[in-house]
Amino acid sequence: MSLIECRSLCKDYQRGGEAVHVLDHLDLAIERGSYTALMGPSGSGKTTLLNLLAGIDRATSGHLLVDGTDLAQLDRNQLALWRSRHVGYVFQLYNLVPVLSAYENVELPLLLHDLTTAERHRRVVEALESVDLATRHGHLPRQLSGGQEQRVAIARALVTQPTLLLADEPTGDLDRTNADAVMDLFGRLHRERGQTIVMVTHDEAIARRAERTVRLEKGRLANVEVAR
Amino acid sequence: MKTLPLEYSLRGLARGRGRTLLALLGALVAGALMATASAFLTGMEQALGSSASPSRVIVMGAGSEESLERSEIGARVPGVLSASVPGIRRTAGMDHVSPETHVALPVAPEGSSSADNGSVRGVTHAAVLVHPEVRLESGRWPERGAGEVLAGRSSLRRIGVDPGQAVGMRVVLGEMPVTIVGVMHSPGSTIDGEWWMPIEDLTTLLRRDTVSCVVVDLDGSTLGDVQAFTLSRLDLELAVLAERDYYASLLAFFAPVRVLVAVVASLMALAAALGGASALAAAFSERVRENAVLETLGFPRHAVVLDVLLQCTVLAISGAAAGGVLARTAFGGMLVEFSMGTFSLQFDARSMLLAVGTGVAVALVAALLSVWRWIGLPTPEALRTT
Repeated sequence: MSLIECRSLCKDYQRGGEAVHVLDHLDLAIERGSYTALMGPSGSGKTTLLNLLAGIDRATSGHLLVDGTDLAQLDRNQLALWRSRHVGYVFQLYNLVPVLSAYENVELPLLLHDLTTAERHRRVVEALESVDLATRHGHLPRQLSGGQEQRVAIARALVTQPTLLLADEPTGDLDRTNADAVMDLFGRLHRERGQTIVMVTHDEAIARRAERTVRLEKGRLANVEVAR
Repeated sequence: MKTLPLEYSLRGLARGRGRTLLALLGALVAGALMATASAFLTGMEQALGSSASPSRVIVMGAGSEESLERSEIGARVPGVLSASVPGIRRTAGMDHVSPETHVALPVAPEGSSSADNGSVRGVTHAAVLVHPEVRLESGRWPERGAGEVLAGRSSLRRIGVDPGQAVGMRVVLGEMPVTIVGVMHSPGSTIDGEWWMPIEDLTTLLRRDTVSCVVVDLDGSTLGDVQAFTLSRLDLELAVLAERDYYASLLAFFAPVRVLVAVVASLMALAAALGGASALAAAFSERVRENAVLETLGFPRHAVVLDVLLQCTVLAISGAAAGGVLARTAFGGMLVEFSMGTFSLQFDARSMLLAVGTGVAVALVAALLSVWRWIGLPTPEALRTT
C-alpha cells in the first residue's frame, strides 16, 4: 500500500462568486521512502496539494489517505496532533520563530511529544548535527544566513522523525550554493534514512534531484517522470 | 494540553519594544485611574461611615432639611434635653450631650493671603464624650475666651502646615486670629479635617445666640424616646435623626459625585485600556504567519490562543498593577476637600484588585483583537501573510 493515496481529489475555491477548481479529480499515489518533486505552472495546484497532504487544508471531495489515515475524518485538533507525529514541513521563507535560538526552534515541535528533557536534547543535537549546524545552536535566526536558516528549518522538520517530509519551494529564497547544499541534504536524508520527501519546486534543476517528478496542470496530473 | 513554554511566551514580549511599552503604559494608566477612583470612593465612604455611631442621635432645628450648617436651635435646648430624656450615657457625672455649632469659614495661616475653606465646629468638653474616636495628638484643649483652637491633622495638611509643628502657630478663622493649642486626630473621619473651638467663642464670632445641634449618646433609651421629647416640646422646633442616618443621607447626597467620579475615571481608564490593548493587538497581528507556522508544526489552535492570552495577561496585569502601586505611592493619603470636610484617598485591597482587574480586562480585549484576524483565516492563507 502506498504511503499517500489521492483518489479523485478535488479542491475548489470561491473567487468572486465563481468556483475555481484548483485540484480537479486528482489521482496520485506516492510510495513510502520515495522522493517526489511536484512541478507545474502557477495555479496548477502544487502548493494546494502539499497543504492537503500536510492536513492544513481540506479537500472539497475525493479521498486522501496518508499512512492509512483518512485525513477527512479528523477534526482540526486531531489533525494538529496527527501533523505533529507524521509531518515535517519546510517553508520557502523558513518561518523560524525570531525570538528563539536555532536550538529552541528545532526543539519546538518536540514539546508536543512526551519525551524526557534528555531525550529531547539528544534529538535536537542530532538534528542540528545532521544539517551541520551543531555549532550555531545558540544563534537567533537574524544571526544566521538564509541558507543556515533553511537548514535550521529542515532540522525542525526532521527532529520529530516524521513519516513524511513536505517542502514548499525550499530553495526558492536561496542562492545556488545554498540551494545545492539544501538539496544535498535532502538527497542524503532520502538515501541514508529512507525519508519520504514531497517537494514543490519551479526549478527543473532542483526537480531533477528527486527520484520522480509529478507535473500538475490545471489541477490534474499531467505526467510523471522517473529520474534515471 | 500541550502548550508553548511560559519562557518562550515571555520572550515574545521583548520584540516590538515600542508597542510593548505603549501597551504597558496604557495598562498602567488604566490601572492607576481605576485604583485612584476606588480610593476616592472608599475614602469618602469611610469618612462619612466612620463618623457615625449607632448609639448617637443628632437633635437639630426643624426645617433645617437635615443640614447642620443651616440648623439653628436655642442655646438652652441641651440643658432641657438632658433633663427631660432618660437613658443618656453618663461618664463621671457628665451627660453625653454635646451642643455644637457647625460652620464653614475661610481659614489661613496668619499673614498668608490665600485662605482655605475650613469646617469649624464650636464645641464644649462634652464633645470628647460623644466623639470618643477623637484623640488629642499634641498640645491641649482650647480655653474659652482665649482665642484658641484645636486643629485636625487633615485640616492642617490642607493649609500646608506640618501637624508636628502646628502647636503655637497662629491662624485666622474668618476674621478672627486664633492660636493652635492642640492637634487632634480622628483617622478616616470627617472630624480629622475640622477646626474645633469653644462654642462660646464661635457663637461670639458668628454673632448668634443659637447652636446648630445637640449630639446625644444614648444608653438605654432609643431614638423614639428622643423623638417623643421633640414632639412634646413643639415650642423648641426640634427634629431628631440617628447619626448613622444623617451620614447615610450625606453619602446618598454625594451619590451623584461618586457616580460621576466612577464614570469619568472608568471612561478615561477605558480610553487608556483600549490604547494599550490596540497597541498589543497591533504587535500580535504581525504574528499571523507565525501563529499559522505553530499550527503547522502541530500546536493546536487553543495552545496558540493561550500563548497570546498569556503574553497579553502578563503584560497588562504587570502594567495595571504597577499603575495601582504608583497611584498609591503618589496619591495615597492625599486629602480631598468636600463640603462636609476632608477625606483622604484610601488605597486598599479593593483598589489594588480593581487595578489588577483592569489589567485582566485589557489582556482579554487585547488577546481577542490579536487573534481575531488569525482565527478568521484558513491556515494556508495565514501562512502567506507578510
